[in-house]
Amino acid sequence: MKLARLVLCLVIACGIGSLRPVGAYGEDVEAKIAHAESELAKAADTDSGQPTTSADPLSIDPDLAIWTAVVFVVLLVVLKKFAWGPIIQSLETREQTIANHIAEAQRNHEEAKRLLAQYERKLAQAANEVRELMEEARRDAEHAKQAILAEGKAGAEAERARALHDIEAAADQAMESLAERSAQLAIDLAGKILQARLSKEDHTRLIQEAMAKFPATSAN
Amino acid sequence: MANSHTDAHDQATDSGHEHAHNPFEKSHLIGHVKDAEYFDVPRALGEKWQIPQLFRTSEPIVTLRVGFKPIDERIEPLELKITKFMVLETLAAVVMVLLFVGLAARIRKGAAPKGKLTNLLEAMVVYIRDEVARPAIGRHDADRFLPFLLTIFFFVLVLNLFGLVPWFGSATGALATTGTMATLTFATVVVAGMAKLGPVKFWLAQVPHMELPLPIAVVLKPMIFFIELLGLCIKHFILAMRLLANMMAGHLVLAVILAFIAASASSVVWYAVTPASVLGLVALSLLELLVAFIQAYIFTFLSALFIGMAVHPH
Repeated sequence: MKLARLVLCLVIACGIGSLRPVGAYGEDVEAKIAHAESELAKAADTDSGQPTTSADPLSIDPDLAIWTAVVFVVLLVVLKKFAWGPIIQSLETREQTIANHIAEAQRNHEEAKRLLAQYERKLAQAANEVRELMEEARRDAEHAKQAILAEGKAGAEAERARALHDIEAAADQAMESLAERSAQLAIDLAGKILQARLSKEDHTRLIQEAMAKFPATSAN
Repeated sequence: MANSHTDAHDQATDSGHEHAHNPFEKSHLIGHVKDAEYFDVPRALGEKWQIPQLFRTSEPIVTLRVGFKPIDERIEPLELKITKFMVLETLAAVVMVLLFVGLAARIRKGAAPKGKLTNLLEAMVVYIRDEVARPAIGRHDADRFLPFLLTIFFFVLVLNLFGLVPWFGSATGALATTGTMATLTFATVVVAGMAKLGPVKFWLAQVPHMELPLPIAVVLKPMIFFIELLGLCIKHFILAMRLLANMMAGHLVLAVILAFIAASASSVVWYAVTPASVLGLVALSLLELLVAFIQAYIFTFLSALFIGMAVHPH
């Protein structure tokens, strides 16, 4: 970019430089002298037999050719020893280092992945175990609950049955003793009434009545 | 492009004179992108900085001739002159040594890369290694050629980018530069191939394996060998030409667009041409920036490909 800018500036500068008004050199004696001098120099050159640069674009100057070869070979030797050798070597070393680092990173990555998978497996296993344990515990608890409930129910049933039986027995006893008492009372009462009011005729009549009933009863 | 700037200035000036030369003259335009013995600098700094010629011989030491006229007339004499491109190449080498020896020192500590420059350079180094060298040569052999490919890539890249620096020039726009680099690649290919397969087998491996009856094989195989050999040379020649043409053409276009300003300097249309030219230059300079990277990459990639083909023939 800098170079391009430089070129641009140069071109513009030259453009501006040539912006001199036409004909300003008409009186420019100095320029004329300079030109004449250069013409003279050219003429002198030709006179001395030294060829000026030819207009042939394909002309070969052996001076330049030899110098090019010398410069190039010297440059090649110097740079090979002091620049290309170390540079190529160092680039190789650097590439090797980078490649090693990448390979190492890859290895580490693989290892990490392997470990992760392993731990994940272990974790899943542990979770399974926990779930099984919980299941078992719940099952046990359920069993215990059912057993306790059943036992309680049976106990209650037995208690109730015994209570019913007791009540019945008590009721029977009570009825029995009530009947006994009422019979006693009736006999007592009847005895008392009989003692008080029964005459001879009554006696006879009673016997007769009883006797009359008798065949009827036995007929039954 | 840098050259072009200063010279367009020249031309704008010249066009004020009655003896103004034609701004579209071929030698003039090409002169802007060609090597020189001076640096073009702004007028205020003296217009041209001559490079001191310390070793230049009065007579050419030798002028190489290969006996083929179109080539011979293009070879300049060897005279130990110091040119702008030589200075720039040296500067590029110094810049690279500073950048990469510094990078090596930082990277050797082994810490994470920090800072824009470190990351920028490292990204490019790793790119060349992983996207160019290893796919083209193969994982096993690539690292041996990595220093060569890295040097090629950054050298070409820096030289290409220098072409975008004001008052510099692109040394990769000269056939001597690109040709030398292509020759070095060629040498690397041949040496690498011979080292890997053995000197004889390497050359024999140039002929692709074919199941041919013996009489035909005797006739055909030498011909194919010759064609393949030619192909091997042409491939590397094109490697040089591609980079040269790309760099030179890009900078020539910039010079031409600048020349529009000079050509219209004495007329009213100058006021319309100048902004258009300047905007066009900005856009094309950005394109050149892209081309600088692309061509450096292509040169390196093809070099890697050729080495790969030499090391693994089929």
